[in-house]
Amino acid sequence: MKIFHTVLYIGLGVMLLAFGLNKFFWFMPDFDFSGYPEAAYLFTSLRYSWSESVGKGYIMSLVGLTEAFVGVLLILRKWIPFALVVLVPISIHIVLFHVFVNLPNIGPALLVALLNTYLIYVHRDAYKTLFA
Amino acid sequence: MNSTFTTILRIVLALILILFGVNKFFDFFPMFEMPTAGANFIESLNTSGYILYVVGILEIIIGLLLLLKKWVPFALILLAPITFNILLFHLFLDVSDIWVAIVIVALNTILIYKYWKAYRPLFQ
Repeated sequence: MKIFHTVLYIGLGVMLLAFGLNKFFWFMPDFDFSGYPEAAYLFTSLRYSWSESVGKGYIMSLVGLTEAFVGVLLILRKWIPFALVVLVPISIHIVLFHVFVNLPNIGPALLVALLNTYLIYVHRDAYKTLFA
Repeated sequence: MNSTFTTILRIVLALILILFGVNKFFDFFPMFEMPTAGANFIESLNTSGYILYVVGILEIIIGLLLLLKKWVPFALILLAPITFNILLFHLFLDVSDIWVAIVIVALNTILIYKYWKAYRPLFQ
């Protein structure tokens, strides 16, 4: 079980680090949003929100930084319960984004959300004091 | 954790959140006048059809938890990402109304500090 969990931490960590860095360097191909105008509009307006025509946006960089940060913590297996809780809002929003505006590409979102949920369950004792 | 000061901060934050949360559904007080970049950003969140409602529901839930003094450390950590984004939104896109953000950030930070013991296990 311990090895299995280590594989999950490092797998999720590497995935998040890659997705996070991609939000700065854009080395991965974008999803194909044709036929999903809301998705294309939302994604494009957030992706290019830093460019001059739109103004000084920050969302994509914030999500990217957070993903990379959580990824590194998971790879190093440092502060794992904290890393998992920081990831929660991102997991929820990537799932909601795909559920509401772009259902066919929901795969990676579900994978991240499932791993996040399972690993939080594994560490559930660390969160007990929050509900005191 | 139970000083009068903490109690006042908790209840003030709860009332602000419930007010802003409910406003996302009923629009009973007018939005700030925003610069174009900020207005565009809110407009794209509106287009998504769900984001502002999710934020509104979370604000109401967090407000109620704080008001009822139930699961306070959980409520505060649930609020942290919202607080952070309120701050960044105003910092980058609508700096003239940043005082609202600063009030929320201050309340959230002080209360997390007061309840810090509950968060220790997250860093082990």
